[in-house]
Amino acid sequence: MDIQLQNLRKTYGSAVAVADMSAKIPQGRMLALLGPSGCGKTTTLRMVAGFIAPTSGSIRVGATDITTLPAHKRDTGLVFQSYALFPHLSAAENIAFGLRRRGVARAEREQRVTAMLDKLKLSGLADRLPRQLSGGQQQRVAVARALVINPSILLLDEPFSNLDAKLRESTGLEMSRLQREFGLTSIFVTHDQTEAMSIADTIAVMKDGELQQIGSASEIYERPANRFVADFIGRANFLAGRILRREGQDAVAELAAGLEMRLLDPGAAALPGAQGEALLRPEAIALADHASPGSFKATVEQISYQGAIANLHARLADGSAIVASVPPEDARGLAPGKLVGLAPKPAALIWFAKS
Amino acid sequence: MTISFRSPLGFVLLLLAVLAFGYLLLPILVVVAAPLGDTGYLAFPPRGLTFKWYAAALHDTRYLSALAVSLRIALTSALIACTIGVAAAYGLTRFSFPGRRLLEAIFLSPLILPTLVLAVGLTLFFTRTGLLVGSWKLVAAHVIVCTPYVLRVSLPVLRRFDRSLEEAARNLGASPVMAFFLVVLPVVRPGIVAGTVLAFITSFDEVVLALFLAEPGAPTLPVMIYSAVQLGFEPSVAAVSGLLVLATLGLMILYHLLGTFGGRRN
Amino acid sequence: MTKPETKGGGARWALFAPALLFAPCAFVYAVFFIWPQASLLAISATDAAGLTLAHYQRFAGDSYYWEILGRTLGLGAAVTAITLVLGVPTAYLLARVQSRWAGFLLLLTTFPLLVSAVVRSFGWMVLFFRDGLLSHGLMALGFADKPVQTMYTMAGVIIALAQVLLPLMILTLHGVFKSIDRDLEYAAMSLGARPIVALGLVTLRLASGGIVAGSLLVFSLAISAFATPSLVGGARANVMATAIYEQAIELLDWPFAAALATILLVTVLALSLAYGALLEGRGEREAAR
Repeated sequence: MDIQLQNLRKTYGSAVAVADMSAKIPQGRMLALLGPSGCGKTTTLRMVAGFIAPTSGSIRVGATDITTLPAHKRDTGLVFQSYALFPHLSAAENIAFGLRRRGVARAEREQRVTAMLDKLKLSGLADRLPRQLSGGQQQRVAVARALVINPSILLLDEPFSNLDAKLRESTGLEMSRLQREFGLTSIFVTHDQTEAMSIADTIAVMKDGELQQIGSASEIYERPANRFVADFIGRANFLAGRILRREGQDAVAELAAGLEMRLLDPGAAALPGAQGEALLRPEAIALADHASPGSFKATVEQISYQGAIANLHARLADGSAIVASVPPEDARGLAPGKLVGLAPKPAALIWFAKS
Repeated sequence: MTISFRSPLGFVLLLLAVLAFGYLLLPILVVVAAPLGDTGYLAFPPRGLTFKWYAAALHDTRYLSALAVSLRIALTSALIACTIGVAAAYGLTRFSFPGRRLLEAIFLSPLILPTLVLAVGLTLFFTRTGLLVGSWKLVAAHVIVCTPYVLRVSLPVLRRFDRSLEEAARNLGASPVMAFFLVVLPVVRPGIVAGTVLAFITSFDEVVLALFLAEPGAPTLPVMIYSAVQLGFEPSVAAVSGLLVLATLGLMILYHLLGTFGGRRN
Repeated sequence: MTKPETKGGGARWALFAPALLFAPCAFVYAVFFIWPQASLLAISATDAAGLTLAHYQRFAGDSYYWEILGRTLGLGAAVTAITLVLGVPTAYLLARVQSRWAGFLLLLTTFPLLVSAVVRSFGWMVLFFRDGLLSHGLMALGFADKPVQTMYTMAGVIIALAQVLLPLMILTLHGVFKSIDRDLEYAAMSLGARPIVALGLVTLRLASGGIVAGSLLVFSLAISAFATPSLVGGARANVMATAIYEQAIELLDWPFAAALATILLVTVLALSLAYGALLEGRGEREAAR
């Protein structure tokens, strides 16, 4: 079933935790709520789960308005950041908890728990208490417990943040496979943009309770709606500048004290004289000769090899720092102190007017 | 809240909690308010309004001298308890040796001992041995009941203390004794202050040991109140009690504002 | 025997420091705690002729004292029950409320503890007398048709003593509930448990050890209490503590008082051992987590 959040709002006194959050998640899709801590993503998730009553707005699942439905009557599976496994119950008993509450008969219950244990590779661990399980196993028990009740919605609250980096990636892919297999409409809260981009269909970026942008991973990365989104998703260089003139849809701006650059479709507000910043992703920069036209003249300060790429840390003439990610072979022969030209790739500059 | 106050369950829980707070505060309110009545006998709610009983209490030399006795004994006991308690707590956390847990259990055991049993034991003991005279008997008794409080508050603080700080001080050339006074003590001070305050209050409020062991001519304030209440219900006793409550409230607020409480809560 | 846990101390420090640290405390305890308590035991079991169990036999053979012991244990049970009924919900709310109210309410709970039990019992006495608020209240509500005397009754002692000990129950349970992750309750609810079921199956189940420990603490303090029973109950509601006081101070029968004190002590000690074992078990379980 699809989920629809409409102007969802939560305030505590004068503090706004979530302001006018609207989003629609089609059946079987996954929405990631992404943002730094305190941005309202967890509050939004907990409103959907029914733990926090919204101040205003509504939550619909399919055709039903569940805004005021108590948590235990909502058909949601929830995986907590801390897993929230009942410490006095074994893995199997934890998984059976929701089935018992739903009055599922013993035989069916046992069969469904066993099937779920198998599916999540927990077969030998049924009788262990949570504290006798590793972090990854605990996480799988938490997932099994949420899935076994066949919920129509799956909610994930930073489910991988307590796992180590390697486990995180494989678990994330496994999670996304299960979600598709069960056809679950899902909301996933995270502060990790890589995680969000790799498993969610749609990403909602939030900050200070406000929705900043909602869209697919590529939309958000390539056409960020504002400076915050550009900065939060991926690495970013921001070059201060001023619009010089309009040329039809496009504009020409002076960036980083000196260089004139063409901005594609910077919006109607980019009138001559307007101050602002241009986003330039590190990987959208090519190395050029320092005298070549259309490139920034920069002094190399440090080169760090990352294997697949090399990050070139350099300083522009106006003193601002810039990072370029270039193929390692291009960076060969460069050393701190050397002058290089940094050429933005076509259409790489995105203009943000000064607010 | 996990449970909404609007749900029946939440409402029942809230109701019981409100009831609990009313129940906790009612007798204290009575003691403060009853002497405000000008009926000449104690009634609650008070009828009329007069401050004469409070004024009388402030000028009653019997209560004032009892207060002086109480303060002296509480201060002496708390300081002794603090000194021997902190030393023992430091030893218990700093060194490991067989029987350490047993020693800790013994040091803490007066907490669970009925004070009356302690009082009977000590009275017999002082009578038979003739050890200690005057108010020192009561001070010794109070040190025994106060030291466990100092230990109970300072042990966890000392256990949490980052040993590497002390090692850093030693590494920089401090002797063990200097390291204790320059590094350990300042860091764990909030815990020690809290323990000493707790010890002071325990001694100041204590009535059973005082009833058995205070000098006949110099009763403590709780003993004075205890005896006066048994004899009859003068408004002046209530006024003294009321003043005691107000002073406690004032000191608690002051203590809280000074922020020392934070050290104890964490 | 003793050794410092870290290196760097000289040999002399390692040997003498612990001894010096423990010496004052150990000395004070030995002289003013262990010696008097040991001699109390000795006195309870001796008379002019030497070792005897006469004082204990006197207790065992007199139904009057059995009655007192029974009344004392009944008092403990009633006080524990009241503090549980009021303490569990209050401690739970204090542990779950998420605002600056929580700190204030915790202070409000601690405050009565700082007021002497004598003063608090006195407050109750004003309410308990025949023309006090309680009597008038009961008549106004139709529970009584003539003035009720709560003073000098067990009911009065129970009400007053439960108030004296309630803060300790709340503070103990507050710590217990605070250590239970509220997400466990949310998890139970999201799995379909009604709030009351979630509380029962998860929170109370996990808090049970702490609840038993808090109850034992309140019970042992209730049966040892002296000031409140003696002021509110007087001679008509005699409990172990007041009986000991009577034997010692009024009848000057110290050996028998010592025997009664020993019986009370043994009861409390047995309860405390159970309490310690429970807390220990809890600590170990938590450490293993």
